[in-house]
Amino acid sequence: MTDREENEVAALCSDRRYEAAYALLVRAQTPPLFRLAVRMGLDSDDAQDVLQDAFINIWRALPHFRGDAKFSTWTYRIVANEALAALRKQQKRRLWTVRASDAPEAVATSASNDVYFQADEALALLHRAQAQLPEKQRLVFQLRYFDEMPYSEIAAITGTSEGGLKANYHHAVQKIRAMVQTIKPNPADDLLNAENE
Amino acid sequence: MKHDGIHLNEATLERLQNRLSDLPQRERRRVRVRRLVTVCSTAAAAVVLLVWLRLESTAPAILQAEAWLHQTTNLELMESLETRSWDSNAEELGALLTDEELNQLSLVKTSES
Repeated sequence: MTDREENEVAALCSDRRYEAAYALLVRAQTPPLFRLAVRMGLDSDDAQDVLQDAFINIWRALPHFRGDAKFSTWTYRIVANEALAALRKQQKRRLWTVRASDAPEAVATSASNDVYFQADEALALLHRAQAQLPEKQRLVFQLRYFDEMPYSEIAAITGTSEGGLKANYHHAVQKIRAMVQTIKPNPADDLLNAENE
Repeated sequence: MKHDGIHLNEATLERLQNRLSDLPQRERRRVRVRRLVTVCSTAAAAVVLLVWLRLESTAPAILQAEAWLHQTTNLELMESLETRSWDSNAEELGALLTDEELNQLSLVKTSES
């Protein structure tokens, strides 16, 4: 979401034109938020459900938005919470059908089998590895690595301190590197090395 | 944003955006329906309460009458009917029955005597 769009939404909200502000948020934020939900390991249908629930909350809360954070950060936070809740529900359901040790693998394959996923082997491997991270660590990794968000913004989304986030991201990278090397020593490691440099 | 390999289908995205854009309207409709349901259920509850209160207020009188009926012998009952209700309703009954029919009623004869 650009600064101009942020200002526009803020101006519409201050004029109490919430419907217009909401429409602008939908137009600007649906693609990145849908992408985030899919990347978190949800399939297309579940990601759409998550966005619908999140946008109901956004619409209801829009008149009460205090302006503590950017609108984009706020919407990311709501969608991230909804996505985490959906993943937890999925995991509970999955526990009835597969053994607990199989669950991370099941999450990992859901993104790769999705019709929207198309990438080279290195990126596919990176997705598979990051899908095995704990949910919150996965969220931090994605926001930092793929969305290239500053730590301050990720802190506002996840509700954790910047110091904690840096440590969390570092651990996530270490884990992914180890996982990638275990699966197959290949170019996915180079992607992470390039990120650190 | 880095390339993440995820390609969003344009048609799906457009459908989703349309669905999300309709949410405020659907929410308003839902709130209106919910308000209507609240009003209707409150009215129904009020009616039920009124009926219950009415029954509660008449219940002692009914119980009293039942108790009286159980305690009263048939003869006393007949006497009571002749002296109280029959007297008060005689005129009304007289208007509904012919003289001949009235004469045939033993109760009328009894009260006349």
